[in-house]
Amino acid sequence: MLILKHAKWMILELLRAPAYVVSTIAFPALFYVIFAIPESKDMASSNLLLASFSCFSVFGVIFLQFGVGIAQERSKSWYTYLRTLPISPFKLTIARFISAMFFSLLAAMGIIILALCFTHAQLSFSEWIIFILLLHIAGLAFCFMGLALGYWTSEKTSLPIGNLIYLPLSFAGGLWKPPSILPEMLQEISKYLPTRYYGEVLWAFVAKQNIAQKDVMALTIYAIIFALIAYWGFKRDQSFRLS
Amino acid sequence: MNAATILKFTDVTKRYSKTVAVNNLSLEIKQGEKVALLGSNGAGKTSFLSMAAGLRKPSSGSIQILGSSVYNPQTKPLVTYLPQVLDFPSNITVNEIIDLVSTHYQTDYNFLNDLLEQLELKKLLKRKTSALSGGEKRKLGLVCTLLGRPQFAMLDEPTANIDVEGCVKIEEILKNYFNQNKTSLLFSSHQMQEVENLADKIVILKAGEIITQGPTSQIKKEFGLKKVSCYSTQNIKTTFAVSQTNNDNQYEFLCHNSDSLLKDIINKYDDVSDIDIKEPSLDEILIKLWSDK
Repeated sequence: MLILKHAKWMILELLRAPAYVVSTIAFPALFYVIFAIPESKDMASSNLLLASFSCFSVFGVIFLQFGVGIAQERSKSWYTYLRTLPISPFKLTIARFISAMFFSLLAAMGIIILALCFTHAQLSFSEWIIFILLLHIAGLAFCFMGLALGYWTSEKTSLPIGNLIYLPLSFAGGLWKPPSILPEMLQEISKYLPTRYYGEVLWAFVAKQNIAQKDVMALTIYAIIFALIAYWGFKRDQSFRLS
Repeated sequence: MNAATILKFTDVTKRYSKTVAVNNLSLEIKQGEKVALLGSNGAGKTSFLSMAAGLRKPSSGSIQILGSSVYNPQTKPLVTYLPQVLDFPSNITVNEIIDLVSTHYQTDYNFLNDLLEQLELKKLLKRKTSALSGGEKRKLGLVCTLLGRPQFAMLDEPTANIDVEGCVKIEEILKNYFNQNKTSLLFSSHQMQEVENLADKIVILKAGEIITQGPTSQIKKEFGLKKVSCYSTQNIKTTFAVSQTNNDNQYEFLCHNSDSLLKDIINKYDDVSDIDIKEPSLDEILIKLWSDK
């Protein structure tokens, strides 16, 4: 109940900021229109590009915006006040996580609607549902990555540092252009990036292939590593605050 | 029967790098006490309050609230804290803030309604917090602090940014609430009128140390100085004054013995008039104490 109440006002606060809502949906959608729609020549390519740019949009919200939001919030007096209320920091983080998931869904829906209107993308109803669920479950690793960004950076440094991670990881992970057409050296690096594993999971799903266990395992390991870094950052933040 | 101890600071020191904000401070607040924490800027009031609220850890010493550690989550529903600055999320309405905060407590909605009525916030319920004035935000902060009917509230400058009329109303609300419920209050303030109206005990800090504490009347008595004011066009000098001011020929002297001082100036100067002898105000006592010790 408490968690949902906090999630509700976090969502409401952002929903009432048109600039935030428009940019959340418009930024990945714009990339999709520029890079993906012209290349979506048949159902297979449309589905693959839909998966890539959906991953890109979810990654953007749950890593960059979620992380920057936490870093900015930490410097505000309201956050200090929340710490005096009878609610644990863990529950507040869950509420923030729900809010991030809500907006990542919104961003992904923008891509899906564009794909349905302007490309040959096609999935059955149940596949759409699984696609959206998979997009968010596999994206959990980036949620922890966002938490780590939020706790390890400050209000001023979070956005530039976040962008320095977000844009190169998206590109090198093959979320804008297929990994096969990346420069050779980048292709080698790409194989080890979390965004690449994320893409591989979703690409396999829309191509109606089996999702490779190694991709799931790698994403899980990344999720654990990011969660540990985030927890370390959280503890560090708490001790700074208490010191 | 002795009243229960609500807050206990034992030999608490708080250091920020080389700066000592609170130095080896011990203090007890009993149930039902309303204590004002006074001190000039940087005296350690906010550090003291934020440690009591569990937001900062002392460098050494121990802090207990309601008989247990200040970090015990079980005490949180019973203790509230209003920080000196509280900026609410900007796109949220007053009503939504109250709804969110009240979910954390067993809120008595009749009491909450009265509070909103008295603080004239009812008409602002649908307004976004970004559209509130500084005073209205402060009042909303007070509602958030009191709506859970705390056993112990800590308020860091509760009436900052509030107009005179609003201050009087808030003093009345706080006085009624803490008297009726026999609950405890610890607050910092620079408004001495508010302190005199609200507090039954004063703790005066300087450079992180308590320089004096006790009931207002006792502090005034212990201070032992009288304030003598008079009018004269001459340049009055007297050795009986501890300090003196002259504003457009209106003199004010602080002295230990008002009779001796008056005899001295009346003998030496022939146009002394409008003589008045009073107890010094709390402001004057504080200024003197801070400059002395």
